[in-house]
Amino acid sequence: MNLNIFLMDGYGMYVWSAFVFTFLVCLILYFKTRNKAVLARGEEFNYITDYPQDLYLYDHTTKQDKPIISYDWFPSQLKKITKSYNYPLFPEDFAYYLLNDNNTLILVSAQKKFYQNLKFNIQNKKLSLVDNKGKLDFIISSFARSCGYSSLKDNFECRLYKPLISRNLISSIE
Amino acid sequence: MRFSLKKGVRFIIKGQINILFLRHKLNKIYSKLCLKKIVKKSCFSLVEDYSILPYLPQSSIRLQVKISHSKFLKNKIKVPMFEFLSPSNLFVLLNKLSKSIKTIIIPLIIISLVFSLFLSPQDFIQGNSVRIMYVHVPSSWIALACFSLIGFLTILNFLFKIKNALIVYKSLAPIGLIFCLISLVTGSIWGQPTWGTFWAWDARLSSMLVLFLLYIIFICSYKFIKDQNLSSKICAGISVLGITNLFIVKYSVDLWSTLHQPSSVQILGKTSIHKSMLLPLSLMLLVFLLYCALIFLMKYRTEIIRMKRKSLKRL
Repeated sequence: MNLNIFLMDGYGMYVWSAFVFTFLVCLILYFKTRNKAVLARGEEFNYITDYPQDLYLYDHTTKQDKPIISYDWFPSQLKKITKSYNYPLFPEDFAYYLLNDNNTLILVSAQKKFYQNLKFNIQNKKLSLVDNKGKLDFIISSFARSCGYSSLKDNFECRLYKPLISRNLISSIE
Repeated sequence: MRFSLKKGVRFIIKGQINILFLRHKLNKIYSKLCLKKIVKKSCFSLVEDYSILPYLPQSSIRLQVKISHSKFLKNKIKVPMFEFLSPSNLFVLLNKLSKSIKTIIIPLIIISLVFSLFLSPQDFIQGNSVRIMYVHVPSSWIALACFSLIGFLTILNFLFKIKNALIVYKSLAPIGLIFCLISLVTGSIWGQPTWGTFWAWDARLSSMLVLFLLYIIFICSYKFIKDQNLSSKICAGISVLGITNLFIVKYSVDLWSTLHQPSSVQILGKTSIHKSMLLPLSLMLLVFLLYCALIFLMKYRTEIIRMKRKSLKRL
């Protein structure tokens, strides 16, 4: 075998190293870009197909999510239980608050003309009205605060938790 | 029922409709327009008294919205001017382009490598070391071309705030940087057998190093500066410096006495390189250009998705 094809009269070291460097750098850039593109593809999928987004429930133990408030059934279901209000309402017309029992979802109307609030039982998938003419027997703040000492050595600390609110909530300016 | 919101923006609505339902639909349409970047102004919700009117753009957008009261989920929104460039269509197009490039690039790489490493002749003076030219020269051309394009787009974005220009230059900059690095490294490797040194502070080499540094500063300025206005100002400043440097890179071999040889391939003038060497050089250039297109398409797609995510968060 003619080794001179690879040795190139002593210049092989320079030529091969230049070519290897070029293609190695190109490959690194390609794989880095591809990884980012693959990650972004998931984001694009969420954006294109899920908009308007339904509300999902994520179970930390099973690591699975399931839809709880769906765009398909919500307006028609709501129309049945609200006889006095004929206009269609959609999931994003409400803010969502999950109660301590981890099963009751309170839907607070963002439509000022719609005075009623809703209650959704996650286990039974039952939507019902909170029968108090729009008034709730608990306070909703934009942040939940929990203060205290986590141990004797620690300082007094306050932690803020953000309640569950629909990302697609479009609040009306009235 | 027909009504016009503003000159150039027309909503054609068929069927019986109540005002709240209409408001909701307009909200949806407007949100979609915001997300698709058709409406460039800040996104606001439509309200019953249509106080959104001042925020609608001056450009003529014709919308045809067919709404049936009972079948509200089967709405059709037609935006003829922008239909082709809608995100879903654009993504399909980008995917098709990427796939077709991927299928042709590998055979082309093999052919160009065979030509440049084995079939092309040796140089009379430089011997086999001339083969480094097949990666060094196209990468230098691409590095220079990328910065010219980036410079033009940055200034365009700075003057007219064109979001698309921003996405394009963000996608182009890493490609330019990589090819500038390849050009510098392969050049210094070529320098050792030809000049007897890896590096000399001559005008062409130094100006190319300056270009490489400008690429790094440019990328850092849009990556680490959060303020969009400040970032675009700095990018525009770097671009002006870079474009000036491009002229120095181009004419350094003619203006000063340098170690680097003058350009052998001319677009307008006479090319001094032999056809047997020009063929592998052209093939390698084609491979590099296809590679650039592939990386650019992938990056462009990623940048669009990122921008859309930002818009979605704003809602």
